Amino acid sequence: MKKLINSKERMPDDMIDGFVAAYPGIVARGQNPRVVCRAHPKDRDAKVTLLIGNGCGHEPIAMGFVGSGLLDANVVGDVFAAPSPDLILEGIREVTGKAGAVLLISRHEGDVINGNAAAMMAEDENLSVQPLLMYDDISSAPKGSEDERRGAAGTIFVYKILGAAAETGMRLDDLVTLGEDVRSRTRTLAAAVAPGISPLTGAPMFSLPDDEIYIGMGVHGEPGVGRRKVGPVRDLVAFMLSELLEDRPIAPNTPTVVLVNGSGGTTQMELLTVFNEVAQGLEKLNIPRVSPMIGSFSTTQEMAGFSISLLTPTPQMLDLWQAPQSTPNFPAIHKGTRA
Amino acid sequence: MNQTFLLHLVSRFEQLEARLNQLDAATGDGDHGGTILKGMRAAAATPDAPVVAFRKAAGGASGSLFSLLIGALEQAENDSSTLGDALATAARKISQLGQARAGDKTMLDALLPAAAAANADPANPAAAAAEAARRGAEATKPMQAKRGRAKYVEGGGVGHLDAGAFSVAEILTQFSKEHGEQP
Repeated sequence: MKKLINSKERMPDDMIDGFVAAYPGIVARGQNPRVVCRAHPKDRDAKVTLLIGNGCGHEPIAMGFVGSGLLDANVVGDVFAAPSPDLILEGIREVTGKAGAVLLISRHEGDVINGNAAAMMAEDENLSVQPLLMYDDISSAPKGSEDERRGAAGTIFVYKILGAAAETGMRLDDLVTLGEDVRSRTRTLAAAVAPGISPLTGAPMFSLPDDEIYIGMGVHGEPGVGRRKVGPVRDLVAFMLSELLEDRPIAPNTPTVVLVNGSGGTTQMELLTVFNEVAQGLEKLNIPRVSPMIGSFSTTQEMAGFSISLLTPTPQMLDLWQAPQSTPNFPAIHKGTRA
Repeated sequence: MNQTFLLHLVSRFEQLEARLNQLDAATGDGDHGGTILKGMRAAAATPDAPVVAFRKAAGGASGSLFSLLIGALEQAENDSSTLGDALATAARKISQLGQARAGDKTMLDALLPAAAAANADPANPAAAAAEAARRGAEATKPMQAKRGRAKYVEGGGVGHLDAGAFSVAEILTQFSKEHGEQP
């Protein structure tokens, strides 16, 4: 395995050093070197802060989304390991003012355990912090058990919409309600093509025969989700789209935001091909699409694959999704609609 | 906490790191051995506050969950008759934090029987706990994971030992040796 690193131990810190050196007008290190925050924070007694802790190795998420109109801070754990509750608490302390904070938690074991523990510790210090669990991956738990699902790329909708809403001065409770509403309108399904290499062990993170694709994360007992042979991407996307729409049907003429996320080792050429198939599939159903996002934003090293996320936004959510932001890595969202 | 004990754990987990990573690779992301070792090294360097040191350095779910086990051993180190209750309390907290139960193929499948065995054998509580934990870890092999990352793996990790349960057994075995109770 070839990885461009100095040492396993230094990976996260070397990366953060590079990040803050590259974007000094937008982001800065907090007092704790694993806290990345805005270089020019707003008045924290007036604006609710939005932060998340997560293991690194998935860049540009979440560090790359720190900046005006989006996150106030990201607490960076080790590679693929949620930061400790103690570290998340330090991040909360650094950015939380009288307006309070939303602690986003993408639903993965370590993130949930350590995030909830940190929020409890923050409450003990009289900081006003509300944790918000994010989950959207339909393959990780069946319909009816939505709150047992994992957070996947569709969590990006929650980041962006809450980030823009907080910027307009929305209050803490309203932000949490809005975030829950975005979550309930979001669904994601992923397909893996080839494993990423863990920089910790140097080994592939799963195995998959050359001619197979893996849909979802392989939870058993869910018909239709699992391995399938590589074929034309059209068939693969049609299958994934039908799974998504079966889980959460979308009525004709409902504006829908499509996010096609690459997992690190899949080219933009392939992602645009996937998007084209999604677009055609939605067109057949008379589902108009608005303001898509296409690229590799939530990655797992050089893992090849992609996910499709669908959001049916309210008009308010759509405005917030399209609102300008200034972060190192979040792309501009274009308004263009096409029925 | 007794630094010698912590240093012994460090050397034991140095030996086990590759094997634990391998076990974890079958069901998770293959870094369990490295995570525990990071935590143990920090605990051994900070014997006055091993729980927080372990939690901070290990990170991840394992950091928080295994720090509770370290806390239980710290509590019981001078009086192993309290071991069973300390382990049971740790298991309860781990169960709450991780939303897991017996049979979910997690570290609890070693820890819960260890707590019960320690209470049932007041003469040799540490050895009884270690023995029960080893059996418990072995019993995770055919289980299908309901919690933890293994839940999302094809087959739920059936046929593989749970790395967390294995680590619990190793830690308790070392604790038992330290107390002169040879299993």
